[in-house]
Amino acid sequence: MKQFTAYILISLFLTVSSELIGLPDREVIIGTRHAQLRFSPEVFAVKPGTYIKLTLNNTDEMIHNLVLINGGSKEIQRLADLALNLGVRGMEMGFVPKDPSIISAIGLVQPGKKSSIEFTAPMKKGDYSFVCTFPGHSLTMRGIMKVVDDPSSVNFAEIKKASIGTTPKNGVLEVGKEARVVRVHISGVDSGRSIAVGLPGGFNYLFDAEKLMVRMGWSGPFINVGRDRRSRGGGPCSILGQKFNVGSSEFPLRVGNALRVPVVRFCGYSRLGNPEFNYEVDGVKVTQTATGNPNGQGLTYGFKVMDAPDDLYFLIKPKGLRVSSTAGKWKSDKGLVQIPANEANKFFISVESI
Amino acid sequence: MKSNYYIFLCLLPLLSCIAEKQPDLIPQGYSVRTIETPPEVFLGIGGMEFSPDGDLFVCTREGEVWKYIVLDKEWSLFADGLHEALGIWIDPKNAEIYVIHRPEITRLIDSNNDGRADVYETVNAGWGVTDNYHEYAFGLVRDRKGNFYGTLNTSLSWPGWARSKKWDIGRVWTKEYEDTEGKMGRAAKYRGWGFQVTPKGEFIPFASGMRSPAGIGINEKDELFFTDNQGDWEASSSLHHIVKDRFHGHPSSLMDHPDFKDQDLNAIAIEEYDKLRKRPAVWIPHGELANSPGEPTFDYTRGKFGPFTGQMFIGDQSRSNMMRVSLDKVGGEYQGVIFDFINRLQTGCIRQVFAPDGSMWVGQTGRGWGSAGGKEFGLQQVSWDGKTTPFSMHDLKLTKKGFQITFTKPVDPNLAGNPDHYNLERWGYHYHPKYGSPKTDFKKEKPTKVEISKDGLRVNLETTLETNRVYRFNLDSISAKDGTKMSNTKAWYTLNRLKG
Repeated sequence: MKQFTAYILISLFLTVSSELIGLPDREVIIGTRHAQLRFSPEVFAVKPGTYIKLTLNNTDEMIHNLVLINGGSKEIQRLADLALNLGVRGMEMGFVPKDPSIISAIGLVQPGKKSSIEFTAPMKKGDYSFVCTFPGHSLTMRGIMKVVDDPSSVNFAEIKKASIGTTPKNGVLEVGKEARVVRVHISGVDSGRSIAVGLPGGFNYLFDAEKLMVRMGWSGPFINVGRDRRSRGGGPCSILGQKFNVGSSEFPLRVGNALRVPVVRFCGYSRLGNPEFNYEVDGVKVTQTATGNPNGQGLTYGFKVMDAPDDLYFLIKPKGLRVSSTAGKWKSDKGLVQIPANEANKFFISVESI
Repeated sequence: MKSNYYIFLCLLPLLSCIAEKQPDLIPQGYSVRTIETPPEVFLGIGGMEFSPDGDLFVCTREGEVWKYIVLDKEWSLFADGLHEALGIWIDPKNAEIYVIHRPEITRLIDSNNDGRADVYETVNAGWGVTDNYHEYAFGLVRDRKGNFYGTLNTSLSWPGWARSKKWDIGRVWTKEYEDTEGKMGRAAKYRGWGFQVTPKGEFIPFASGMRSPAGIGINEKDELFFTDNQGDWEASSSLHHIVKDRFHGHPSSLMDHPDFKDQDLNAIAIEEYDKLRKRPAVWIPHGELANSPGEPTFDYTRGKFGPFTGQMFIGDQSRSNMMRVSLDKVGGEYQGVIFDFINRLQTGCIRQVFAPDGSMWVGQTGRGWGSAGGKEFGLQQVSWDGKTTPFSMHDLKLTKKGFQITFTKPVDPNLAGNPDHYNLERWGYHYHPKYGSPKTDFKKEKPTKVEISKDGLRVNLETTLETNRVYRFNLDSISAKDGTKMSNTKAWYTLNRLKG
């Protein structure tokens, strides 16, 4: 009994002293996964009241912060909104709003840099969240700090395992921390080779791998695949959320001649970061991405075209749309953007509902 | 009390080994183990392959690819978002992973080595596909020259079905029959074909006349086989030997055959199709043995899976059983015998693969067509104990005057010598556009002569031989000399040709 008391006293002294002289009990380093908008690791565990040195090691090519808060996904959402509402002051404040739920925070860390902060973990056991509140990052860049008596008892493999359930509830396929790319038959779209893409943040689009066109965009939740996965299947899937027009034309990208339907080959896609579709138009290699427009209903295509031998044309049905391009000119009367061959290696086209 | 508890504890691991209920029909020495699948994942298995590292990769009807580390019993998701993946092939040399799904053959590449595929590279998409759910693409096998092979389901095409007229294409009933029943058709290019994709990436329509060719298999000599399901033009389920340019009997696919360009397939008489078609190598009698067979897989375990090396195994989606086939080359063509092997497993069996240890892993789906096993999906492992010789008909082959049955162990000569103990029946099938066929020309017969070899391992039967018949044997009153009961008492032999 005596020994036990002594032990408590000593450990108390050690805890207090380390805080006094600034030596942390525990060092935790959180990295960022390249181009994936995710932290790594996404879970760590500490004892109640531990004095922690927390480092954000930003190995990604984007700017991130790390805000540790008392709360779960609801609090994360609230804080992300607060950060967004900082507006012009956001950058100088590191997108860290003033809020009582914040336990500690690391401001903006440039790509390839590190930043640390020291703080004392809460005495109350439970799960606390950490999140990047840089606008647009909070949906995927989040993790959990577990405060438990015995951090070694936390089974990280088990936590990872528990998160592998992939079968959609009630047929609703959700977009989590990573983009989803799903082959589907969508109701009302006459195509056997459609690919639904859902990006974190609630922008979705349907790419037709036969006609190499984006058939539609929609904002909000992703898709319901229930009718395709029930019994024999046979029912088409449906999009959820708000559909918007993107002015789709068949085989919209053309080389040299806007009027001629090209010979095309779909080559697949990459899911490293924002999904990229690869295809050939008359033998010219094309990489295409799409992102949602932050304001209003629309999307921005990103194109990389290797060694364009001639001007490119991108066809868009202009009705009800505002179109802009970083290369070449939008000719609304002809419904096309003409991109000079020498500007084709990288360009963006934005389409927005008026 | 305490000591009892300890005994119980000691027995626990033992109990968990023997606790699993075994199927009613399973050869002696074989056992079934159910593999726990990942929690909260619907795992309707459409393809399976072991990687060179010994990990099992499973692709699913739900469009995912899962990796299973056998020793650690650990599952991880490798790929998702595919469209009803019904075949997988892994390169034994470099572990490259290829899957076949509705739209294409895709190579799955994990370029950043994080355990998840991130590049989905289209290898070939040479066939047509609409949003008709029945347009499955099955596979995937590759020969030693590097050619891929797969099979393409016909379209579910009858009028009024599911909202659309666009699928009402290519149904064939000929002038002799009324267009009254459900028929499959061809709503897009090369539906009902088996195809080849060359190493250069060229798509070659390879063989036609398939209906629901749910599984393709390849043997060590690069010979290809597929199973088809009973339906229109298909009297019963069946196993076919694929050879380039063969027509296997279902006419819708001929729409894409250059010889039939712009022809009205309904104006062609059944007799013409009958002359063109190649009959199945082995009939798998509907209702008796299988209703919707999956892929054929050859046992090249060199004895690790018991005494049936070189033979073929086929599962069935609805009856949930496993069957065993021994081929018999007669007059240059394959025909052969099929036995029930295990009846039954937990749900529909459509895929199987042999593990490096020689066990057979059976990939299962019961979704959509109902399966006798009852579960909706699953994975089971069938192992042989390495020592027990089951008492089975090992093989059954055609002779000039009848059949020779080979047994795995010596038969009881008193029982096997009695011609009444073979219960021989034979029948034929119609070739017609109707859905399935009743048995035709049904005859019961007794062998005229029974001869047992000295070692008791072979029996020669003499009987009337007729071509284009299925011969069914039922040996349920014959046991081994050592008293063992026979594990597979029935055999179905397809006689297309006589021995010259």
